[in-house]
Amino acid sequence: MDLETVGGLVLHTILSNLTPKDTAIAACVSNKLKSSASEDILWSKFCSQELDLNEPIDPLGNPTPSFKACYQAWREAFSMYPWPLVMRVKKCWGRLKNWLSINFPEAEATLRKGVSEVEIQESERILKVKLPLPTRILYRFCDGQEINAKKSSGSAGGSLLGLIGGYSYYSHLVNVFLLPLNEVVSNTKPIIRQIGFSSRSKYIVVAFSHTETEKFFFLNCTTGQLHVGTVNLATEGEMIPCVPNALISSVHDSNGDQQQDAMLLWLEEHARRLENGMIKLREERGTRSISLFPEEPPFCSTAITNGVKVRASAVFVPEIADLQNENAKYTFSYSIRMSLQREGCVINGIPFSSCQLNWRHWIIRANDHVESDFNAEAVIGKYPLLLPGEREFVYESCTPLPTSLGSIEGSFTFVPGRLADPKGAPFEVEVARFPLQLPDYIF
Amino acid sequence: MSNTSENPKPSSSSAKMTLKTSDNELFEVEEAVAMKFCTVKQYFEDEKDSDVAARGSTTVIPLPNVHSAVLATLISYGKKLPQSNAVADNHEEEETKKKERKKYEQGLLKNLMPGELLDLISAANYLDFKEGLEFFNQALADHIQNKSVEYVRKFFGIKNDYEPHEEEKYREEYAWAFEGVDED
Repeated sequence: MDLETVGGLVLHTILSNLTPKDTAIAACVSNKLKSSASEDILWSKFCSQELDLNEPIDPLGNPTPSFKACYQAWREAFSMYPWPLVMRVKKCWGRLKNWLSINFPEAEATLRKGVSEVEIQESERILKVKLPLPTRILYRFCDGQEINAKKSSGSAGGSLLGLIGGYSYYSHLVNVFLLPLNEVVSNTKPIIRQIGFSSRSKYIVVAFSHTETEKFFFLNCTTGQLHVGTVNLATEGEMIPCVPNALISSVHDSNGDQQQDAMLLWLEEHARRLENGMIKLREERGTRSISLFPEEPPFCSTAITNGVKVRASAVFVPEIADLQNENAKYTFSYSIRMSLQREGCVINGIPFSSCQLNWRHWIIRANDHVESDFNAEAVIGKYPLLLPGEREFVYESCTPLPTSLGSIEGSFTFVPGRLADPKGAPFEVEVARFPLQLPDYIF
Repeated sequence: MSNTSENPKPSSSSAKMTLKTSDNELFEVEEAVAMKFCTVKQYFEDEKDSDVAARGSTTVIPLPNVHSAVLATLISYGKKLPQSNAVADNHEEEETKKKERKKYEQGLLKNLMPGELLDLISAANYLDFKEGLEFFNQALADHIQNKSVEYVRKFFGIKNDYEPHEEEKYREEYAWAFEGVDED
């Protein structure tokens, strides 16, 4: 028996086990094989498996007449890149866009369409760099975010739509956007000059916070690593790497398929955290944004005492880090969320319909050594009154730390009823220990 | 390799069935193995309803589309698969069996001619022998993976019926498929 006399059904099962490449080669073997190898059901499987496509849409968003034509269009559009890397980048953007479309559509609307090869080459020419391979493909799929709002104090909705998100405490507010390539080009030179780097520097600005607080992310096009500026950025050009160095490889090598640079790893990690709920959307004064305060254990602790629930977590603040300052190298911002269960505040079986915070007690450790242990009134000057079943009262503060690892724990002193009219004796509410940790991925 | 049907042996622990190939050879096969050929299973179950007395060794199931050499290989492969009614092995025994099976599979594939591979696939499809079909299909796919058009033609003895300019056009259009292909 030979391949041409074998029945159509059997031929189909044989072809179903081939890769797209081998199927295309099979079509070139003979005319008879061509029609079997061109069956669109085979190609719809490839489009689904490799490109997550259920409809035959080409890279520009236009419908194609068949899945075979669709697959062909994608391969042609990205023929200059290793295909496994193209599939990986597409998946990464797919996950991010999917999360946004479900949870944060107003931010998804800011994502710009991918740039063309010509635009990438032109940008590289002006910047005098060669973009790492994965970053090039990232821009082919999505050209950062459309930033309409002018730099403001952040209360306007426009500047809180950053894909990377951020945090705020006291007057410190950041929310990070990915820059479109044309903004990368226009912002890089002046910023590089400002921080005193040579004009031949291979660093480009790829993301920053669109608020008054400054936070800049730089991609090193030679090494493929991403860096974030510290408090000494302007004076010393001081930066911290954002992604574990060991993971970065072959960023300019188009052979093989192990290429991964910091942008890709960083965005993949961000997608993971959004998907598993480690970071979530937060709403403040009617405006939503992605908050980088962890929401899940082990980084977020939870404790319930007498019906009062306290959740606590911290985030590393790289733009305030000062690597030259031995005593306060790292700064962490922490967010405390407190609420009262529906049954009210129950002390020794007696229910109270409210309780109010009076004092805080914090123990801050650097490694395992107690850095500070203090009691003080109120929290950020407030005495939150908790009522049953209401939204969490949330506040943020910050603490410096001499080490990259530490923790905070403590308690709040509450009175049942209200401070002006206490219904019983004060009681301690636990704040379970939560970590302060320099993360392996810095956002 | 083939057994002719004799008087049934007294109380064997597993029932046997007889399969007859296209070239009139008879194969006596253990029920457990034969049941992996779903076509046979279906035939057997249909027969069982109609003729209780004619169970097992006296029923001959005809397989007019399968040649004896092919059936022999498929039965041999079927025997090496983990049997659904076997006692569960401990981890070590399982690992040893797996290794043996891998060795057997490699030996089997090494000596196959391309035409034979296609016969096996076709027969496995006809017999609805899922594990066999998957195995031989994958073996074929693995063998021609990343091979050139010329290799595939030679392997299957297919004549090229493209006009030279047609083929040239195709190769240009689908350039991505022809990159990095193994040397012949």
